[in-house]
Amino acid sequence: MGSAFVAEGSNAVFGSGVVDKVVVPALVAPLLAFLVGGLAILIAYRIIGRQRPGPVARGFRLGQVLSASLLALSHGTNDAQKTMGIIFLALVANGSLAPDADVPAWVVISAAAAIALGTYVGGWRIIRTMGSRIIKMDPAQGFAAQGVGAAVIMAASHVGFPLSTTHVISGAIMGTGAAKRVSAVRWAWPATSSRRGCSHFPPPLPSAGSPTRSSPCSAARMSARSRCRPRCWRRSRRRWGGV
Amino acid sequence: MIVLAVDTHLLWQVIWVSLLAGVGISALFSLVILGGARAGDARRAGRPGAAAVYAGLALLAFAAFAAGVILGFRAMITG
Repeated sequence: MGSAFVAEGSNAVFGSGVVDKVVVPALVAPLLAFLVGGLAILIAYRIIGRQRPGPVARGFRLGQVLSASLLALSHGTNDAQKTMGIIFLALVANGSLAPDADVPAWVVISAAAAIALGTYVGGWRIIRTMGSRIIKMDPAQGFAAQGVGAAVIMAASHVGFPLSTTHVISGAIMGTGAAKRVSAVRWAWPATSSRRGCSHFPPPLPSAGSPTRSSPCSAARMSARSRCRPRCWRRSRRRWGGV
Repeated sequence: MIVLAVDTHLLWQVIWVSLLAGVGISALFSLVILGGARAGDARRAGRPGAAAVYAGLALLAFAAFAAGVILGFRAMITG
């Protein structure tokens, strides 16, 4: 949008298309995931009732293999298409492809390979954020959040709405947490992290003589550390695996 | 103005499909776990009839769960 606006002016941007296909789905989807996630976990807890926690946790942990696969599939059906769309647009703008041509196979393969590789190598901080810094998640909540996230993303992909998979799954996680207990959700976490420009707060403390733990957020970490009471940091060390 | 620009039909479709699929997946898999857990308990308590009924419930729920997943997958790749 930005490049089209600068190059061609406001007439190059279809305002109704932006609202219809981008803004409204982007606003509705996380809220929808929140509500459906809450409803799904309430029904799941209602069905499970007072079963022994061991077999229930084992069962949902097994189910998470399926729901995570579904979520990964839905992630590819939405996010990889956006990447392909941009590459396709560049090829059309360059005159390499006709506007009505099919997407070349190399574009599909490179977008799929890139998203798979990125998921493989760069995900641990996001996984930790989603898995333990929004709510303290049990396997049932994880299963419900992943299933709901996959359902919302797939339904939106099917009708051609591009979404942020991160926002959808965040909404689903918060929904499953809030349905159990509203105070179980760390509502302030995203705001805190964005204010600090830091993606991992509270941070793990660097171990003595271990410079490898330094990060772009070292300054924020140290200032936060200096403001924090010792007991708070002892708790943080235990929780986040610091030394 | 903004409301007029939005394709409410598609939006409603996303909402009800997400609701149905999201809640359905969780409910069906919960039934699988419930059936499996109760079948195990009944077997240990020496009630083979109840164990068979609960195992059947777990199998049925899993079949419905798998059918839902396959249906969703098919809708994705053929749509």
